[in-house]
Amino acid sequence: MQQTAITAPHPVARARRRQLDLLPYLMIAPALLAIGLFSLLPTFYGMVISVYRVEFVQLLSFVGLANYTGVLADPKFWNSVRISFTFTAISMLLSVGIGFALALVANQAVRFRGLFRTIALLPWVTSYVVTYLIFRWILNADFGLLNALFVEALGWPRIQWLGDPNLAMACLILVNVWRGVPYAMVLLLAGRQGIPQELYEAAAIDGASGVRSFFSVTLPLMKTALLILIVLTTITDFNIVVAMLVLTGGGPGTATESMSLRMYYEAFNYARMGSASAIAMIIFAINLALTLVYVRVLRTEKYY
Amino acid sequence: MQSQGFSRRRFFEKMAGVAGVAGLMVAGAGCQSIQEALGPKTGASGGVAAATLRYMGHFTALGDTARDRAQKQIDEKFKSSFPNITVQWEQTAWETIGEKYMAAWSAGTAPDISLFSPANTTQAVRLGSLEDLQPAFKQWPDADQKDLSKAWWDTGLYGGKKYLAPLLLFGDLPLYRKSLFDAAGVNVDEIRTWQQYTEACQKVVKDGQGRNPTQAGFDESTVRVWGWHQFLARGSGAGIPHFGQFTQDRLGKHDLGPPDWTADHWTAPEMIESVQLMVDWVLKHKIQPRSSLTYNLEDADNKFVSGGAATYQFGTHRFASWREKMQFPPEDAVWARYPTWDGKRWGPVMINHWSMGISSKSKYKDQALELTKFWMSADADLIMSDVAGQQPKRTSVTSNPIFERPDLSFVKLFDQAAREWSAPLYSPPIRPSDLYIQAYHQMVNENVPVQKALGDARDAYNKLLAEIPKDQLPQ
Repeated sequence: MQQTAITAPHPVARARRRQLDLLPYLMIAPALLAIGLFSLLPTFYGMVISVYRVEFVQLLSFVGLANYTGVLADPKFWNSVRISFTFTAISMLLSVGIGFALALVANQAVRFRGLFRTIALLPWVTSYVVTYLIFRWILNADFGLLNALFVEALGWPRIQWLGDPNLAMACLILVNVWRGVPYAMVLLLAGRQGIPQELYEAAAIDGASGVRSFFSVTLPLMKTALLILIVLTTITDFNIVVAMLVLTGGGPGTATESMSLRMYYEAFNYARMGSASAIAMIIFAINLALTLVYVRVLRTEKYY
Repeated sequence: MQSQGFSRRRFFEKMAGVAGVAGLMVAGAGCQSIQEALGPKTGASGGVAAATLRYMGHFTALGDTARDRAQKQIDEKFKSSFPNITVQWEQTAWETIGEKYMAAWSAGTAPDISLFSPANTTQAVRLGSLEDLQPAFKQWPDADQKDLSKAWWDTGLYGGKKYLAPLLLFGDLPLYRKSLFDAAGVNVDEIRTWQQYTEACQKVVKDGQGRNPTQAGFDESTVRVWGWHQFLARGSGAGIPHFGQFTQDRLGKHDLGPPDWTADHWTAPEMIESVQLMVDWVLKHKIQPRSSLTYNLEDADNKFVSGGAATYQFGTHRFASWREKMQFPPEDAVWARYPTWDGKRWGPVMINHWSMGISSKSKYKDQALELTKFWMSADADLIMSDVAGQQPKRTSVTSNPIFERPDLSFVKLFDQAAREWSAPLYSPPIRPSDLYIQAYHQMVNENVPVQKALGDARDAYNKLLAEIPKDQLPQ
């Protein structure tokens, strides 16, 4: 049997290995540069702007926390906070719940599974603006498909889908859920498919029913995927602007004006970049808090 | 030990290849930038060097509306006069032109020419983003300068500098479906007060059982043709209906104007009374659909042209587009004069505009000025009137026989109305439209008393105004 002689490392080889230790860093350098330029730097600049009085894009005078106190003292800001949390919570729960259900269905060995998955993904691949514009038409009280084909066909009076404050919020949530469910389905399907089949077989041998298997096998082992999805969906829904901007403009009145939309109006309607940045920093702080919660909860015991 | 599969040498060779290709692309782009930076090329025409001008607007040579077609015709004439100047059109929704321009200017990527309205002019001027065009205009031939109307010269004037060249000068006039009012026994030319207007609309509005709003059992959910509507959605750029007319009519002043630009008059008793009527149109008189609070401008246009409303009003500059889409005989839509509160005279016409402005950072100001001058010529003005149904800006064009056509009959009416009583729409230093519409929605949807809603809006506006140093307020 031929044996490889063990020899001391050659000095040149040692030096080459030291040089080549830089390789991993070089490989991630472009990504780090992109994150720094397009994410960290703007965030830092936003922090700077938020403590200045800003005239369009010119920093005028340092005002400390005046922009923050001005924002926090505005009742409309707290209205937008309430709306953001309401929208995010309901939207996230529905997206994750329905997405989970669809993931379980998509995992079954049923006929036309591929077709089902394709159709289920369609809302996700449609552009945000296109989606909301189309739904704006569908929900139009006078010309919309919903009233024309269903409501009036049943002899009911036209419903002001986007004109009633409560209904407008409900429509916003449902359209967002329609768009977000495929993403949840894809993520959770991947998580579901990562669970070994043997565990279900073992559970069946032990006499576990389908429901028991779901709560004892599926749910615990999908905890990581669920948490990832919940955090990503929460952050996405909390930051969304396009939905409100296109579908309702924040109306009727301020019934659907989220924090992000308020920030948009402050920045581009009133040219108050300082206040807008203050709102942006508050949103950032909330997102950071949610992410920290996720990181803490994710430190869980592994099951396998 | 020799590694298997992954070869560092092959990897670096590949990376070098990719980097080389990327470098060539960057160098190519850089060469083009250098060429542009070095300036004009040969082939100048009319004493102006070659350039590609970026023109941002909501009606351009790319679209298909009447105004787009007019732009295209003017562009084709421009190309034959200036073959080495190319216009790169950037079609943009009108509601967002202002903020897009200011954001682009701040980033150094603003188009050379953009369209401006009263909603976004002052902010653009305060940003320093617009070039003063007065020196160039004063070099135009005397005949041209005198041919342009006073309203043209007054628009975009700040502190003695003129930043804009109005492309469209227009105003609101009410538009009536004559047959509907005739059937109701109303002569639209005799509607002189807002109360008469309300009563006339109530006669036209009928529910599914033929009842009008003054009759018991009226069911607004079955109404097919409403009296009046407007675009009133949040974020649509709308304000409180007829607010500017009411301030002119009842207070004898501009809504928001120099020298102080405050909104203190918003809660004057006359304004509260007037706005209460606007709210009652939805809640009490039932001549306006509640759904109008979700309309954007396109929705409102479509509502009228599809026969869903007996009256309408918005800028005459959109009339040509409406005519093309009307689902009733266009002759049935007749223009009239605005009523007033007491009916002693016809109401004021508020002169609105969409104007061309040149970016102060444009590298091709000479070419942009040539283009602006061409677009303000008599030929271009006639095309705008003939093809796009626009109010002419030049006196010489006003006398053209095309204005005898039925579709352009509003031109003479507008001209007469404007001469009797008109006021320009100023561009306030703070955009009030979102404050107005929030107040209006509160009044209609949440039953907030008019005085409170207007008071809150006034306070919010004045607070924002106070943040601007007084020496920076436009005069």
